[in-house]
Amino acid sequence: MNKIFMPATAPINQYRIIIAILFVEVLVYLFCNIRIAAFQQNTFFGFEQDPLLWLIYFTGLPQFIVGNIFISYFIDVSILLLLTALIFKPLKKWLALVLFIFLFLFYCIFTAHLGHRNYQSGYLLALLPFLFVREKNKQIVFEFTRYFLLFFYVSAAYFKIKSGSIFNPDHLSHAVTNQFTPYFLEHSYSVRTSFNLYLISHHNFAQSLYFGSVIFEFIVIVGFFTKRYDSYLAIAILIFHCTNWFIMDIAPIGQIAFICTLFFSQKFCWKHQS
Amino acid sequence: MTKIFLYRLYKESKIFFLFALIFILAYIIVLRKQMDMLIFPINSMFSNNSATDFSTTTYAVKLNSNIIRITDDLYLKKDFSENSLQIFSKWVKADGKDLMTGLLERKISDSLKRVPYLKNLTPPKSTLQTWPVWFVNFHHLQTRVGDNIEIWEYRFDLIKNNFILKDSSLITRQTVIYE
Repeated sequence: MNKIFMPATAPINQYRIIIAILFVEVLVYLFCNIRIAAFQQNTFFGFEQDPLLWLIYFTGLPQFIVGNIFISYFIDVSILLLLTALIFKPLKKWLALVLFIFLFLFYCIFTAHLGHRNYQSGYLLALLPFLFVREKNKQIVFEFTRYFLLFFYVSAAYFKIKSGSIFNPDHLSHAVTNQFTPYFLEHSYSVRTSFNLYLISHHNFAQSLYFGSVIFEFIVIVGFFTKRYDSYLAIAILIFHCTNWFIMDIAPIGQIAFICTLFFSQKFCWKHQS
Repeated sequence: MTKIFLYRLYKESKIFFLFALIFILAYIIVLRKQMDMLIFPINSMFSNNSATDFSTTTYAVKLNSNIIRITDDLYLKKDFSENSLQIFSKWVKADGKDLMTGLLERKISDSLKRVPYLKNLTPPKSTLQTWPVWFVNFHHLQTRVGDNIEIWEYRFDLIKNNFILKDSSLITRQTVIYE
Protein backbone atom coordinates (compact mmCIF):
# COMPACT_ATOMS: atom_id res chain seq x y z
CA MET A 1 0.00 0.00 0.00
CA ASN A 2 1.26 3.45 -0.84
CA LYS A 3 1.88 6.00 1.83
CA ILE A 4 -1.31 7.91 2.20
CA PHE A 5 0.12 10.73 4.23
CA MET A 6 1.57 13.96 3.04
CA PRO A 7 3.67 16.43 4.95
CA ALA A 8 2.17 19.82 5.63
CA THR A 9 3.58 23.20 6.43
CA ALA A 10 3.28 24.22 10.03
CA PRO A 11 0.31 26.45 10.84
CA ILE A 12 2.54 28.78 12.86
CA ASN A 13 -0.05 31.45 13.55
CA GLN A 14 -2.59 28.93 14.81
CA TYR A 15 0.09 27.43 17.07
CA ARG A 16 0.73 30.92 18.39
CA ILE A 17 -2.95 31.43 19.16
CA ILE A 18 -3.06 28.23 21.25
CA ILE A 19 0.10 29.18 23.15
CA ALA A 20 -1.28 32.70 23.67
CA ILE A 21 -4.49 31.29 25.18
CA LEU A 22 -2.31 29.09 27.40
CA PHE A 23 -0.35 32.18 28.41
CA VAL A 24 -3.56 33.97 29.44
CA GLU A 25 -4.68 30.94 31.44
CA VAL A 26 -1.37 30.83 33.29
CA LEU A 27 -1.67 34.57 33.96
CA VAL A 28 -5.09 33.95 35.53
CA TYR A 29 -3.49 31.35 37.80
CA LEU A 30 -0.82 33.84 38.84
CA PHE A 31 -3.31 36.66 39.44
CA CYS A 32 -5.25 34.26 41.67
CA ASN A 33 -2.07 33.65 43.67
CA ILE A 34 -1.96 30.04 42.49
CA ARG A 35 1.76 29.64 41.89
CA ILE A 36 4.47 27.45 43.35
CA ALA A 37 5.99 30.27 45.40
CA ALA A 38 2.64 30.83 47.12
CA PHE A 39 2.84 27.30 48.56
CA GLN A 40 5.90 28.19 50.66
CA GLN A 41 5.31 27.10 54.29
CA ASN A 42 2.32 25.04 53.12
CA THR A 43 3.32 21.57 54.24
CA PHE A 44 -0.14 20.10 53.87
CA PHE A 45 -0.81 17.91 50.88
CA GLY A 46 -3.02 14.98 50.10
CA PHE A 47 -3.54 12.46 47.36
CA GLU A 48 -6.29 10.55 45.75
CA GLN A 49 -5.76 7.30 43.90
CA ASP A 50 -3.05 8.48 41.52
CA PRO A 51 0.09 6.31 41.70
CA LEU A 52 1.88 8.67 39.32
CA LEU A 53 1.49 11.50 41.81
CA TRP A 54 2.56 9.21 44.66
CA LEU A 55 5.71 8.28 42.74
CA ILE A 56 6.61 11.90 42.07
CA TYR A 57 6.10 12.87 45.69
CA PHE A 58 8.04 9.84 46.87
CA THR A 59 11.11 11.27 45.12
CA GLY A 60 10.82 14.31 47.38
CA LEU A 61 11.26 16.65 44.42
CA PRO A 62 7.99 18.60 44.80
CA GLN A 63 8.63 19.07 48.52
CA PHE A 64 12.15 20.29 47.74
CA ILE A 65 10.86 22.78 45.18
CA VAL A 66 8.15 24.12 47.46
CA GLY A 67 10.63 24.36 50.32
CA ASN A 68 13.06 26.48 48.29
CA ILE A 69 11.90 30.03 47.65
CA PHE A 70 14.49 30.64 44.94
CA ILE A 71 13.55 27.58 42.88
CA SER A 72 9.83 28.25 43.39
CA TYR A 73 10.12 31.76 41.98
CA PHE A 74 12.46 30.55 39.25
CA ILE A 75 9.86 28.04 38.00
CA ASP A 76 6.98 30.52 38.27
CA VAL A 77 8.83 33.17 36.29
CA SER A 78 10.27 30.65 33.84
CA ILE A 79 6.79 29.40 32.95
CA LEU A 80 5.78 32.90 31.90
CA LEU A 81 9.02 33.57 30.03
CA LEU A 82 8.93 30.24 28.24
CA LEU A 83 5.33 30.78 27.18
CA THR A 84 6.26 34.21 25.85
CA ALA A 85 9.21 32.76 23.96
CA LEU A 86 7.06 29.95 22.58
CA ILE A 87 4.55 32.45 21.18
CA PHE A 88 7.37 33.88 19.07
CA LYS A 89 9.08 30.55 18.36
CA PRO A 90 6.36 27.87 18.49
CA LEU A 91 8.51 25.31 16.68
CA LYS A 92 11.32 25.33 19.24
CA LYS A 93 11.05 21.90 20.81
CA TRP A 94 13.33 22.52 23.76
CA LEU A 95 11.28 25.55 24.85
CA ALA A 96 8.16 23.39 24.85
CA LEU A 97 9.96 20.57 26.64
CA VAL A 98 11.23 22.71 29.53
CA LEU A 99 7.86 24.43 29.75
CA PHE A 100 6.08 21.07 29.83
CA ILE A 101 8.31 19.83 32.67
CA PHE A 102 7.72 23.00 34.71
CA LEU A 103 3.97 22.94 34.08
CA PHE A 104 3.86 19.26 34.96
CA LEU A 105 5.61 19.96 38.27
CA PHE A 106 3.22 22.85 38.85
CA TYR A 107 0.26 20.57 38.16
CA CYS A 108 1.51 17.91 40.59
CA ILE A 109 2.23 20.43 43.35
CA PHE A 110 -1.06 22.25 42.81
CA THR A 111 -3.07 19.01 42.81
CA ALA A 112 -1.35 17.66 45.92
CA HIS A 113 -1.85 20.89 47.88
CA LEU A 114 -5.43 21.07 46.66
CA GLY A 115 -5.90 17.56 48.03
CA HIS A 116 -8.00 16.17 45.21
CA ARG A 117 -7.91 15.61 41.47
CA ASN A 118 -7.98 18.65 39.29
CA TYR A 119 -9.58 17.97 35.94
CA GLN A 120 -8.41 21.17 34.28
CA SER A 121 -5.16 19.64 33.09
CA GLY A 122 -5.60 20.65 29.47
CA TYR A 123 -2.62 22.99 29.61
CA LEU A 124 -0.38 19.92 29.71
CA LEU A 125 -2.17 18.10 26.91
CA ALA A 126 -2.28 21.17 24.67
CA LEU A 127 1.51 21.34 24.92
CA LEU A 128 2.17 17.70 24.06
CA PRO A 129 2.36 18.13 20.26
CA PHE A 130 4.86 20.96 20.65
CA LEU A 131 7.33 18.46 22.10
CA PHE A 132 7.87 17.03 18.63
CA VAL A 133 10.06 18.58 15.96
CA ARG A 134 8.79 16.98 12.77
CA GLU A 135 5.56 18.48 11.57
CA LYS A 136 4.07 15.10 10.82
CA ASN A 137 4.78 13.85 14.34
CA LYS A 138 3.19 17.00 15.71
CA GLN A 139 0.10 16.27 13.65
CA ILE A 140 -0.06 12.69 14.84
CA VAL A 141 0.12 13.78 18.47
CA PHE A 142 -2.42 16.56 17.88
CA GLU A 143 -4.81 14.00 16.49
CA PHE A 144 -4.13 11.66 19.39
CA THR A 145 -4.82 14.40 21.95
CA ARG A 146 -7.93 15.33 19.97
CA TYR A 147 -9.30 11.83 20.44
CA PHE A 148 -8.34 12.01 24.10
CA LEU A 149 -10.32 15.27 24.43
CA LEU A 150 -13.33 13.76 22.68
CA PHE A 151 -13.18 10.68 24.90
CA PHE A 152 -12.86 12.81 28.05
CA TYR A 153 -16.20 14.52 27.38
CA VAL A 154 -18.06 11.61 25.86
CA SER A 155 -17.06 9.42 28.81
CA ALA A 156 -18.55 12.02 31.19
CA ALA A 157 -21.89 11.56 29.44
CA TYR A 158 -21.44 7.77 29.48
CA PHE A 159 -20.83 7.70 33.26
CA LYS A 160 -23.93 9.83 33.87
CA ILE A 161 -26.04 7.46 31.80
CA LYS A 162 -24.44 4.31 33.24
CA SER A 163 -24.93 5.40 36.86
CA GLY A 164 -28.59 6.11 36.17
CA SER A 165 -28.31 9.61 37.56
CA ILE A 166 -29.74 10.99 34.34
CA PHE A 167 -32.98 9.18 35.16
CA ASN A 168 -33.11 10.31 38.80
CA PRO A 169 -35.34 13.40 38.94
CA ASP A 170 -33.71 14.64 42.18
CA HIS A 171 -30.12 14.14 41.10
CA LEU A 172 -29.00 17.64 40.14
CA SER A 173 -30.93 19.25 42.98
CA HIS A 174 -28.87 17.15 45.38
CA ALA A 175 -25.64 17.61 43.43
CA VAL A 176 -25.78 21.41 43.53
CA THR A 177 -26.55 21.55 47.25
CA ASN A 178 -22.89 21.74 48.25
CA GLN A 179 -21.65 23.95 45.45
CA PHE A 180 -22.28 27.41 46.92
CA THR A 181 -22.15 26.80 50.67
CA PRO A 182 -19.25 29.23 51.37
CA TYR A 183 -21.25 31.95 49.61
CA PHE A 184 -24.17 31.35 51.95
CA LEU A 185 -21.87 31.33 54.97
CA GLU A 186 -20.36 34.67 53.98
CA HIS A 187 -23.71 36.13 52.84
CA SER A 188 -22.16 36.66 49.46
CA TYR A 189 -25.40 36.50 47.50
CA SER A 190 -25.70 36.87 43.75
CA VAL A 191 -27.81 35.70 40.86
CA ARG A 192 -25.85 32.42 40.98
CA THR A 193 -26.77 31.70 44.62
CA SER A 194 -30.41 32.54 43.85
CA PHE A 195 -30.32 30.20 40.89
CA ASN A 196 -28.68 27.55 43.08
CA LEU A 197 -31.61 27.73 45.51
CA TYR A 198 -34.02 27.65 42.59
CA LEU A 199 -32.44 24.46 41.25
CA ILE A 200 -32.55 22.82 44.66
CA SER A 201 -36.27 23.45 44.98
CA HIS A 202 -37.25 22.82 41.34
CA HIS A 203 -36.16 19.27 40.72
CA ASN A 204 -37.69 18.77 37.29
CA PHE A 205 -36.18 21.94 35.89
CA ALA A 206 -32.81 21.08 37.44
CA GLN A 207 -32.91 17.61 35.98
CA SER A 208 -33.77 18.96 32.54
CA LEU A 209 -30.57 21.03 32.73
CA TYR A 210 -28.65 17.93 33.76
CA PHE A 211 -30.14 16.11 30.80
CA GLY A 212 -29.07 19.00 28.58
CA SER A 213 -25.52 18.81 29.92
CA VAL A 214 -25.39 15.10 29.08
CA ILE A 215 -26.51 15.91 25.53
CA PHE A 216 -23.81 18.60 25.23
CA GLU A 217 -21.21 16.08 26.38
CA PHE A 218 -22.53 13.20 24.35
CA ILE A 219 -22.76 15.23 21.14
CA VAL A 220 -18.97 15.31 21.15
CA ILE A 221 -19.10 11.71 19.92
CA VAL A 222 -19.63 13.17 16.43
CA GLY A 223 -15.94 14.10 16.49
CA PHE A 224 -14.99 10.42 16.36
CA PHE A 225 -16.44 10.19 12.86
CA THR A 226 -15.61 13.54 11.30
CA LYS A 227 -13.55 16.66 11.94
CA ARG A 228 -15.97 18.79 9.94
CA TYR A 229 -17.91 19.94 13.01
CA ASP A 230 -14.99 20.37 15.41
CA SER A 231 -15.52 24.13 15.72
CA TYR A 232 -19.13 23.54 16.75
CA LEU A 233 -18.02 20.86 19.19
CA ALA A 234 -15.53 23.30 20.72
CA ILE A 235 -18.32 25.86 21.10
CA ALA A 236 -20.60 23.20 22.65
CA ILE A 237 -17.90 22.24 25.17
CA LEU A 238 -17.19 25.87 26.03
CA ILE A 239 -20.91 26.55 26.53
CA PHE A 240 -21.07 23.45 28.72
CA HIS A 241 -18.19 24.80 30.84
CA CYS A 242 -19.72 28.28 31.09
CA THR A 243 -22.98 26.87 32.39
CA ASN A 244 -20.95 24.61 34.66
CA TRP A 245 -19.36 27.71 36.19
CA PHE A 246 -22.76 29.40 36.56
CA ILE A 247 -24.51 26.39 38.09
CA MET A 248 -21.73 24.44 39.81
CA ASP A 249 -19.08 27.14 40.39
CA ILE A 250 -16.52 25.11 38.47
CA ALA A 251 -14.55 27.08 35.88
CA PRO A 252 -12.47 25.50 33.09
CA ILE A 253 -9.36 27.62 33.61
CA GLY A 254 -6.49 25.45 32.48
CA GLN A 255 -8.62 23.60 29.96
CA ILE A 256 -9.53 26.34 27.47
CA ALA A 257 -6.42 26.25 25.26
CA PHE A 258 -6.82 22.50 24.90
CA ILE A 259 -10.48 22.81 23.91
CA CYS A 260 -9.59 25.58 21.45
CA THR A 261 -7.29 23.23 19.54
CA LEU A 262 -10.55 21.85 18.11
CA PHE A 263 -11.03 25.13 16.23
CA PHE A 264 -7.88 24.35 14.27
CA SER A 265 -8.13 20.60 13.97
CA GLN A 266 -8.28 20.77 10.16
CA LYS A 267 -4.87 22.42 10.20
CA PHE A 268 -3.35 20.70 13.22
CA CYS A 269 -4.35 17.13 12.62
CA TRP A 270 -2.94 14.61 10.32
CA LYS A 271 -3.48 15.29 6.60
CA HIS A 272 -4.03 12.41 4.29
CA GLN A 273 -4.86 12.02 0.63
CA SER A 274 -7.97 10.12 -0.22
CA MET B 1 -10.49 1.57 6.83
CA THR B 2 -7.77 3.97 5.65
CA LYS B 3 -9.49 6.77 7.60
CA ILE B 4 -9.27 4.99 10.96
CA PHE B 5 -6.66 6.73 13.07
CA LEU B 6 -5.05 3.61 14.53
CA TYR B 7 -4.83 1.99 11.10
CA ARG B 8 -3.13 5.05 9.65
CA LEU B 9 -0.87 5.17 12.66
CA TYR B 10 0.08 1.52 12.20
CA LYS B 11 0.95 2.15 8.55
CA GLU B 12 2.92 5.29 9.28
CA SER B 13 4.78 4.69 12.53
CA LYS B 14 4.98 1.42 14.43
CA ILE B 15 6.40 3.19 17.49
CA PHE B 16 3.53 5.67 17.72
CA PHE B 17 1.07 2.85 17.09
CA LEU B 18 2.58 0.76 19.88
CA PHE B 19 2.50 3.70 22.25
CA ALA B 20 -1.15 4.40 21.37
CA LEU B 21 -2.05 0.76 21.86
CA ILE B 22 -0.34 0.55 25.26
CA PHE B 23 -2.01 3.80 26.29
CA ILE B 24 -5.46 2.56 25.30
CA LEU B 25 -4.97 -0.81 27.03
CA ALA B 26 -3.67 0.89 30.18
CA TYR B 27 -6.65 3.26 30.10
CA ILE B 28 -9.06 0.32 29.89
CA ILE B 29 -7.40 -1.31 32.92
CA VAL B 30 -7.48 1.96 34.89
CA LEU B 31 -11.15 2.49 34.02
CA ARG B 32 -11.98 -1.00 35.23
CA LYS B 33 -10.02 -0.42 38.46
CA GLN B 34 -11.64 3.01 38.87
CA MET B 35 -8.28 4.67 39.51
CA ASP B 36 -8.59 8.31 38.59
CA MET B 37 -5.13 9.35 37.42
CA LEU B 38 -3.65 12.40 35.74
CA ILE B 39 -2.91 10.65 32.46
CA PHE B 40 -5.97 8.43 32.71
CA PRO B 41 -8.68 10.69 34.11
CA ILE B 42 -12.09 9.25 34.93
CA ASN B 43 -14.45 12.10 34.23
CA SER B 44 -17.33 10.85 36.33
CA MET B 45 -17.93 14.06 38.23
CA PHE B 46 -21.55 14.44 39.35
CA SER B 47 -22.53 11.10 37.88
CA ASN B 48 -22.98 9.62 41.35
CA ASN B 49 -24.67 11.18 44.31
CA SER B 50 -25.33 9.57 47.66
CA ALA B 51 -27.01 12.58 49.27
CA THR B 52 -30.49 11.98 50.60
CA ASP B 53 -31.26 15.37 52.12
CA PHE B 54 -30.45 19.00 51.47
CA SER B 55 -28.10 19.68 54.36
CA THR B 56 -24.61 20.89 53.58
CA THR B 57 -21.31 21.59 55.30
CA THR B 58 -18.53 24.08 54.82
CA TYR B 59 -15.43 25.22 56.65
CA ALA B 60 -13.96 28.61 57.46
CA VAL B 61 -10.82 30.04 58.99
CA LYS B 62 -11.20 32.74 61.63
CA LEU B 63 -8.42 35.17 62.50
CA ASN B 64 -9.11 36.70 65.91
CA SER B 65 -12.78 35.67 65.63
CA ASN B 66 -13.24 37.22 62.17
CA ILE B 67 -13.96 34.90 59.25
CA ILE B 68 -11.44 35.18 56.45
CA ARG B 69 -13.68 35.70 53.45
CA ILE B 70 -12.86 33.58 50.45
CA THR B 71 -15.82 34.25 48.18
CA ASP B 72 -14.57 37.77 47.38
CA ASP B 73 -11.42 36.25 45.90
CA LEU B 74 -10.91 35.50 42.24
CA TYR B 75 -12.28 32.10 41.23
CA LEU B 76 -9.13 29.97 41.40
CA LYS B 77 -8.03 31.36 44.74
CA LYS B 78 -11.51 30.87 46.19
CA ASP B 79 -11.66 27.35 44.80
CA PHE B 80 -8.23 26.44 46.14
CA SER B 81 -9.00 27.95 49.57
CA GLU B 82 -12.32 26.14 49.82
CA ASN B 83 -11.06 22.74 48.73
CA SER B 84 -7.74 22.65 50.54
CA LEU B 85 -9.43 23.94 53.72
CA GLN B 86 -12.00 21.18 53.47
CA ILE B 87 -9.35 18.48 52.96
CA PHE B 88 -7.19 19.89 55.78
CA SER B 89 -10.17 20.01 58.17
CA LYS B 90 -11.05 16.41 57.39
CA TRP B 91 -7.41 15.45 57.94
CA VAL B 92 -7.44 17.15 61.36
CA LYS B 93 -10.74 15.51 62.27
CA ALA B 94 -9.30 12.13 61.27
CA ASP B 95 -6.38 12.71 63.64
CA GLY B 96 -3.84 13.26 60.85
CA LYS B 97 -4.84 10.22 58.83
CA ASP B 98 -5.70 10.20 55.18
CA LEU B 99 -6.02 7.83 52.25
CA MET B 100 -2.27 7.37 52.01
CA THR B 101 -1.81 6.64 55.73
CA GLY B 102 -4.44 3.94 55.60
CA LEU B 103 -3.05 2.49 52.39
CA LEU B 104 0.51 2.31 53.76
CA GLU B 105 -0.70 0.71 56.99
CA ARG B 106 -2.48 -1.97 54.99
CA LYS B 107 0.34 -2.61 52.53
CA ILE B 108 3.40 -2.32 54.81
CA SER B 109 2.89 -4.03 58.13
CA ASP B 110 6.41 -3.26 59.41
CA SER B 111 6.15 0.20 60.95
CA LEU B 112 9.89 0.84 60.50
CA LYS B 113 9.75 0.11 56.79
CA ARG B 114 6.77 2.40 56.54
CA VAL B 115 8.66 5.46 57.81
CA PRO B 116 10.31 6.63 54.53
CA TYR B 117 7.00 6.32 52.72
CA LEU B 118 5.13 8.21 55.41
CA LYS B 119 7.82 10.88 55.39
CA ASN B 120 7.38 11.68 51.71
CA LEU B 121 3.76 10.81 51.13
CA THR B 122 2.03 12.29 54.15
CA PRO B 123 2.19 15.79 55.66
CA PRO B 124 4.48 16.27 58.66
CA LYS B 125 2.84 16.52 62.09
CA SER B 126 3.89 20.19 62.38
CA THR B 127 1.40 20.95 59.60
CA LEU B 128 -1.33 21.16 62.21
CA GLN B 129 0.33 24.33 63.54
CA THR B 130 1.79 25.76 60.34
CA TRP B 131 -1.01 25.33 57.82
CA PRO B 132 -3.53 27.72 59.43
CA VAL B 133 -0.81 30.40 59.54
CA TRP B 134 -0.03 29.73 55.87
CA PHE B 135 -3.73 30.04 55.03
CA VAL B 136 -3.88 33.46 56.68
CA ASN B 137 -0.76 34.63 54.85
CA PHE B 138 -2.09 33.21 51.58
CA HIS B 139 -4.90 35.73 51.93
CA HIS B 140 -2.37 38.54 52.40
CA LEU B 141 -3.18 38.97 56.07
CA GLN B 142 -0.41 39.44 58.57
CA THR B 143 -0.20 37.45 61.78
CA ARG B 144 1.22 38.73 65.04
CA VAL B 145 2.31 36.92 68.16
CA GLY B 146 -0.78 36.10 70.21
CA ASP B 147 -3.20 36.06 67.28
CA ASN B 148 -5.80 33.31 67.38
CA ILE B 149 -6.49 31.27 64.30
CA GLU B 150 -9.44 28.92 64.37
CA ILE B 151 -10.95 26.55 61.87
CA TRP B 152 -14.68 26.01 62.11
CA GLU B 153 -17.11 23.64 60.52
CA TYR B 154 -20.56 24.99 59.67
CA ARG B 155 -23.62 22.90 58.91
CA PHE B 156 -26.59 24.26 57.02
CA ASP B 157 -30.12 22.99 56.54
CA LEU B 158 -32.43 23.96 53.73
CA ILE B 159 -35.45 25.59 55.34
CA LYS B 160 -38.10 27.46 53.34
CA ASN B 161 -35.91 27.54 50.25
CA ASN B 162 -32.93 29.06 52.02
CA PHE B 163 -29.85 27.69 53.73
CA ILE B 164 -30.07 28.29 57.46
CA LEU B 165 -27.10 27.73 59.76
CA LYS B 166 -27.90 24.69 61.85
CA ASP B 167 -24.80 24.47 64.02
CA SER B 168 -21.04 24.90 64.02
CA SER B 169 -18.09 23.27 65.71
CA LEU B 170 -14.48 24.17 66.30
CA ILE B 171 -12.04 21.94 64.39
CA THR B 172 -8.76 23.37 65.64
CA ARG B 173 -7.36 26.48 67.28
CA GLN B 174 -3.85 27.90 67.06
CA THR B 175 -2.22 30.77 68.83
CA VAL B 176 0.55 32.40 66.84
CA ILE B 177 3.78 32.16 68.82
CA TYR B 178 6.19 33.64 66.28
CA GLU B 179 5.99 36.16 63.45
